[in-house]
Amino acid sequence: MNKIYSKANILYIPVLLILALYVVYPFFDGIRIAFTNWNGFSQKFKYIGLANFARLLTDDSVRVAFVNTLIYGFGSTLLQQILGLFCALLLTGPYRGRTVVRTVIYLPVLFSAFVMGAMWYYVVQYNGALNDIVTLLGHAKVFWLSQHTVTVSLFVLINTFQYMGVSMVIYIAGIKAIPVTYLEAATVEGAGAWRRFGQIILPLLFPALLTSITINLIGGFKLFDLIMALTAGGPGYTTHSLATLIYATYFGGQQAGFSAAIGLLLFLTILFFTIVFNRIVRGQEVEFT
Amino acid sequence: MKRFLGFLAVVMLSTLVVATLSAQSKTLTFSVNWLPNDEISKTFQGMAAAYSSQNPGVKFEFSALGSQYEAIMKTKMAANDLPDVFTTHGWSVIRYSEYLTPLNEQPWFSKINPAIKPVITNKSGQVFVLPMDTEVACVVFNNDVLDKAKVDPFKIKTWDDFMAACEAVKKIGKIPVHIGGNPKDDWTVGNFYDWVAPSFLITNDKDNSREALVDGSFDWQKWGPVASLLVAFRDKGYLNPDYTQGTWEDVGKQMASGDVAFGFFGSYLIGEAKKYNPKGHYGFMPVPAASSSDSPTVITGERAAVGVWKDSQNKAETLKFLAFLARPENVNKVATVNANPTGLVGAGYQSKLGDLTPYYEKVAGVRGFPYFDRAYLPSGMWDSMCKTGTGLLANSMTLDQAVAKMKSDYLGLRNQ
Amino acid sequence: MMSPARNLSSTTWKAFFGLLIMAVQLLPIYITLTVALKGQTELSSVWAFPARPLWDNFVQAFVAGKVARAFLNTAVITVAATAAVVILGALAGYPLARARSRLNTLVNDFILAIMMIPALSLLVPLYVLMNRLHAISTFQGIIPIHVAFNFPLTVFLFTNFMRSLPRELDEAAFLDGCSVYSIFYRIMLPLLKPVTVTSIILTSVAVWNDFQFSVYFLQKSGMRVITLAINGFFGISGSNLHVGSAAALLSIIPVTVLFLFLQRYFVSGMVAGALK
Repeated sequence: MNKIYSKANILYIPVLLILALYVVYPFFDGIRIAFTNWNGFSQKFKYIGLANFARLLTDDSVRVAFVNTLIYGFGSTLLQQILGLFCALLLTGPYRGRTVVRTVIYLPVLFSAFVMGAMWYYVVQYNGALNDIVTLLGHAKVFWLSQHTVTVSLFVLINTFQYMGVSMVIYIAGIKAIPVTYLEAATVEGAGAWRRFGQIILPLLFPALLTSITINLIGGFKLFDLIMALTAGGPGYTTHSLATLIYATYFGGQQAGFSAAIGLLLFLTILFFTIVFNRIVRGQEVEFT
Repeated sequence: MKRFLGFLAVVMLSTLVVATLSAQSKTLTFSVNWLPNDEISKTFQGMAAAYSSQNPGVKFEFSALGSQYEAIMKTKMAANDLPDVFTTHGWSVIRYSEYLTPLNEQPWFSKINPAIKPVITNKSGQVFVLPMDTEVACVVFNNDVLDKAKVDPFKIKTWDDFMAACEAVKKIGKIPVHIGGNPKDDWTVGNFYDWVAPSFLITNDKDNSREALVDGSFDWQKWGPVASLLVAFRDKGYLNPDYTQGTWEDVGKQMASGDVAFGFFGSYLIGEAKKYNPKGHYGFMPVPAASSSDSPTVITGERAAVGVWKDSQNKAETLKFLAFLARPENVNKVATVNANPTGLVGAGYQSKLGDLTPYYEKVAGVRGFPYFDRAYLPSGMWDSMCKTGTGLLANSMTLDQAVAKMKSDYLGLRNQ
Repeated sequence: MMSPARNLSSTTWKAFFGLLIMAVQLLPIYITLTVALKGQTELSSVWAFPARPLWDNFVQAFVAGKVARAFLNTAVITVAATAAVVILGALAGYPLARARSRLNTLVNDFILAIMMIPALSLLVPLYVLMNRLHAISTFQGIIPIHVAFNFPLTVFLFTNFMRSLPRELDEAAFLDGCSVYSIFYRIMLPLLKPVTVTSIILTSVAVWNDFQFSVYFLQKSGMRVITLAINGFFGISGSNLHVGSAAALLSIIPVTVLFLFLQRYFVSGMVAGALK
């Protein structure tokens, strides 16, 4: 039967062709640029070997951006799983107004990240909503966006809020897929709520966990629009992610080659952690027929 | 599958139709670096329309690309696909000249304002743009605030004098300098350095680094005093209290509301302030010198300068359009919108400077120098100034780190 | 977290958490709304709903931002790209779901890896390519780009979903004399509705909200999409954040409406498509 199905392989050729032309080809051309000292707009440039790659190890801004990227990725993902699971559990039990709450939680996922960032800016800017409350309570206004630790944490939170709907929906789907009989049997045998959760629901949610974490992790690592809308990576270089640094180095710093090297670094980082994570979780999976 | 093929057919058919329809007349692509609703964009768009009505068969595809202009133009240059005519916002020689047609042979060439000519001429004597106005950039001030603080701006000759003036403004409870400072608007900080650096490094005829910066032998320790002037202002309390979050909008608003004395911006700041408070009294003064052995200066540069792509398919027509733009009535209109002197001089060329006229007269004899980062730094270092500036302001960078970053970017970018 | 539903206080807690989270999600929208309804000279706090709402900002957003034209362009691009992604993605998912081979595993991983490439790194080479194809500022130029970058998620969803369909149906049809293609057409296609809806929602939202590609590839003013129209209000001079906010709120409406209509299918599509 397999051989017969294989005849249908030609059906994915259009996809591959489009990907080859619009993604693969530019990707390798981008790598080629990483070996040059091109400024991004002149017709002249020189090949400079591995200099840009060596610079990845020494440049301060890359180090800061790399650490930030990991924080944005892992931080957002962790919080999104916790909040997403919490909301999913909240909404799959009996809950009045379930559809409304679910929709409102998911709504920000539909907005463009740029628009979302612009909206949050009104909340966290120096003269914004949050500081209005702060002054009402008698404190001085807080510089939410110009202190490294505060700002990076704030980005993790805002990103979490915008996309926790994604993990919530995946977990809702996952919980709904658990056969009710399992849970009923457990209740009959005297298992309390926590044990039901820990021994049955959580293990059976592993496929959902895998999908949700993968999607959230990739999104968190690629964080761009939110940062551009709130700080553009500043002050200095302190809030850059690798993605925003790519942009700033290319268009602002006019160093296309170095920018391309950073791009490759980001891609490999995402690839690495996604594969590692998949391997870990696959080892723990529980099957049920 | 059928739906897709059908869609494809529709797309191909409509492209064919559009192509045949547009082949009948000439279309010139014209891009400017302002927002679509800015007065200056509308002025240029109007001139394009006027040209079209006088020259039937010539149409314009006008785009005001706003904040994305530079990024888009860089991408277009990389693909060697530029508009027929576009504005160069100060970078005609250093960035765009590779792609521009030299204009020395043009009929209006001899009329170029001598104040701006050196700024738009490259090492071989070629000029690549029609300068429609000449920017004379100084330190903008709110006259009412200075009157209240009993400060005479034209008595300020050095940074020490300036800081004394700031102290006086601070005493009456106003903000001496609004730097802007928000990392999203980090150009405001870069601007400050552009204004201030020449007084330390360029303007003193007897002791300057003009050649050292250009030939690469510059000692970057000399950047220290420039960078730390900003920090000094901050530590003495002369900056706006939200100096890491102030936006460009705030600068205009607070200059207009009489809360701010000085701004290190061109006269476009006055335009902004007038939006919020047209009845305010604003003026400008030359940039102070760093030592008493030197004198204050002004900055001259491009503001609205228009160039022609050297590989344009419609070059002859585009050059005709440029000659049309060079007519006195058009040059005057643009220069007046920007509140600047005209880029061409001679009979009929005069912009309406309104209440700024006495200020322009006051600085008429003052020495003018080009924008620091355009003339003395390799292309790309504007960004370094901005980033090290915001970093210093927010204390996320030390002075040594800032100097080191400027130096490494300088050496790296020189090699391009 | 998981409390027995009979307890009354737990219902209060549930309501509390629900309201709290909703409040956080709605906060930025509310603030943007107050900004959108104020004029440039109004200085009240962002929390305060204006006494006299300036609905004219929305009108201005529509007119000055040429939002109507932008909506049209965005709609055309979104519909076309989504159609292509869903159709080609579904077709691609079939062999990847059913035909197990080293080649197909490779193809599958390859398509998924595309998701990990930051679009920015491809921007300039892509622009050079688009220019050579004379595709800048054209529908036929931007649509394939959106199609390419939205393939991975859709192919992922369809592949997973079709894998979960029992092979017995296929085998029965095959014994009846169906070709491998008509198995897809007759057996699978009718069952694909939930995951198709999910794919439609996810793809059209991504294309509708795109800024990074549109800003470089749709430069002609007549070709602007809604994200560019909004961005046009945020700039150095001539910026009017209030009208810009109004424009941003206008842009949210279509995707919200679409989601509200289709959300029933959306969750069931996720059940089927996202989990193996």
